[in-house]
Amino acid sequence: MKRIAIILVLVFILAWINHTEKMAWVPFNWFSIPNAEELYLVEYPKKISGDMLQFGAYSSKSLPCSVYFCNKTLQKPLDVGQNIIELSMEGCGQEMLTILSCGESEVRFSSVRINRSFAEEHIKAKLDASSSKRTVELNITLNSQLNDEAYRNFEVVVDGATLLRPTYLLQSGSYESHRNEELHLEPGTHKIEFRYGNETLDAKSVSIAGQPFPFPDVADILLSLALAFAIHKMYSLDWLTSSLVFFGLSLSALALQLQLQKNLGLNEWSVPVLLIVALVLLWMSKEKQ
Amino acid sequence: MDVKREAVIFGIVFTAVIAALTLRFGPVDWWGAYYYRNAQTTLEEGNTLYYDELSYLGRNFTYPPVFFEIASEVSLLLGAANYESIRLPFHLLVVFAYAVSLYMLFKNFKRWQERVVGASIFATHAFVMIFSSTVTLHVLAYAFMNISLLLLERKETALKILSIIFLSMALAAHPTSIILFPVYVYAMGRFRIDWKRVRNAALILASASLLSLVFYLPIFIRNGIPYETAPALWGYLLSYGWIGLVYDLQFLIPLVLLTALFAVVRKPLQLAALLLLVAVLANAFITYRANLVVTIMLSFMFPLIFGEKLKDSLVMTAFFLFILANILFIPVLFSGTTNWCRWVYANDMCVKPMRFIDSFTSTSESVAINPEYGHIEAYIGRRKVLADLYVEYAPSDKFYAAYNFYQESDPRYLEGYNVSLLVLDDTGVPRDIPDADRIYDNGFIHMYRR
Repeated sequence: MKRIAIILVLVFILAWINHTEKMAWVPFNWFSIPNAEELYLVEYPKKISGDMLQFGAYSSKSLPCSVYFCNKTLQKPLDVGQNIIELSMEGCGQEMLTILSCGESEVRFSSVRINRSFAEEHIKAKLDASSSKRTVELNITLNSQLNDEAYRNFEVVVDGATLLRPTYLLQSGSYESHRNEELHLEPGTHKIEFRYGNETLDAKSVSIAGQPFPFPDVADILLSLALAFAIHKMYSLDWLTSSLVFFGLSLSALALQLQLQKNLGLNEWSVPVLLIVALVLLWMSKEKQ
Repeated sequence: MDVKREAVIFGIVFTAVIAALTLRFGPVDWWGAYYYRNAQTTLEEGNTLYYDELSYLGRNFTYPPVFFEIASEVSLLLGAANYESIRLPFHLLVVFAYAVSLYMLFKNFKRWQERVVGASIFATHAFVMIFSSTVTLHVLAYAFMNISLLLLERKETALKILSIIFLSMALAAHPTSIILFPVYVYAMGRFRIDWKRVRNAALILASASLLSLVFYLPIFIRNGIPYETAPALWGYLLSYGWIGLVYDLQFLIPLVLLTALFAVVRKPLQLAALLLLVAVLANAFITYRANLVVTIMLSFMFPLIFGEKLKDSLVMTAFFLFILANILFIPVLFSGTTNWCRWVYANDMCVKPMRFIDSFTSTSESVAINPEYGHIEAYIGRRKVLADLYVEYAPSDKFYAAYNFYQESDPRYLEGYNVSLLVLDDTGVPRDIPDADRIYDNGFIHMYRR
């Protein structure tokens, strides 16, 4: 016996040395899960009409950052959260590359200069909402008159909570465009608002019907319990295996319930009836014994 | 001690370990994400024959349906509008049933030491702990198979029918059960070929396969006979070589070698020892999926070989060094992947970029990403993905377009697919698309608009 124990320990030591060496290939800290820093562009222009370039960047950490722009690099510390960065385009050419570097992260975009100057800019929207099961389709018609062509960040607010912040490229000039969004909502009536900035552009209400309580499922589980109990008694199955049989039977019945009723279109009481037949057959076989 | 009590204690301990890992490293992983998402879709759609709008930019849902049906019905029964709200407690319940049924498979070993050793070898295999921590579908399928195996030897017709029903559920939850079932039968029969037993098992397997057609036929009728895209990249022919074996089997490798060495001198076990080694080689070089075959054979063969000796407390202690080391290194696989999210739980490096997609892009946008992150993108990011890892019935052009785009950081592969959001990560080498707007970065994952 001791010889086997010694062999096992020796093999274990060799395996440990080999294994720790192999595992060292993966850089890890046992329980230190890395918390990623994030840097992303929220709104940024593609075609710029004025003398200032403005964009929005989000940083998850307060970091000293640098902006490369028109062949020069500026130091620009970012705060946690959204930052608006404004740069003068004096001395810039027709095409521009803007690079924002913070820590290990970097975002960038290219843009061009154009000549356009509307005295009044606006973004208007019309919202249509329709629902099917739990899905809500939003059809958004955007009317815009803008000097710059830019990615702009809108907001879909459901019952006061922001669910989506879609970013759309809105062209320079006067344009009408159509966008579609899809939301998955819980049953009930919901108020959906479509916003830009802090302004609600349009709002609609939708209702999602709840699913009915699955009474046949309850019958399936109760009948599975009865069957498992009958099997436990009739075949001297131990209590643990009988419990596992109940677990297996009830979940099988639930799977069959959906498969037969919803996928194959049979009556919703088919599975409970099958289980009753099984119980009757079991009882009859007991009678014969 | 009574086997049943041992099984319940084993079930509680295993579930507690899994719960601890889940609560520490959870709540999402790159693999189970596909199953969580489709459990929710099944709940919303009320059936499983729906069109999956997100996978491969839209395709029929063709996954074996049993798990999704159960998850959906259990959610409905509990009045949960979202599967997510019951996911963890439901998962732990299934894990408990799985662990108990797993232990009960060893009930025919005479000594408790043999049973504990067999079940511990099986349960601490990294793959078993990984799927037990994250993928309810696998746990459920294998729990069904275990219950079927427990009833297999019984002579009563009613119990045989139950064995068939449970095996059919296992097959219709995860088709790998069709391979694992015969291996279990061989191992539980202690590696002897008893033709009466073989016939009985074959009859049950054939009947269960037929019965599982209730679930499979609608899929076959709608989509044809199954095929797999890129089987060697992510299908059933995926293998990771020796290093994959080291990460997956960990300290079970020396146990395999010891067991094979001691078994080869015992005449009735020579064939089994040879098959065990063949399974290890197949695991390393042909298909990673052979790993459970190795574990099943090892977990029954080790207590068979060392049964008498395991009574000695020194031998048991020495054996448990291997099991403890397995458990000790599990967090390496779970959390130690730092900048990459391909093993088990996805950390913030991968989850936060997906949340950015979910929040800051239009729901009508499509994403090209490393297919290995396709599931987590569709689950958390909720945007159409060009390719993910569900390669059965998958359009190969889309898979290779996404794969080549990622490997070569070349957006030209994406022409014609109307993809607006490109995602790259720095696994292995830094990746970039220099002439595209880079709108998101966390030092590991970068996103581009075009």
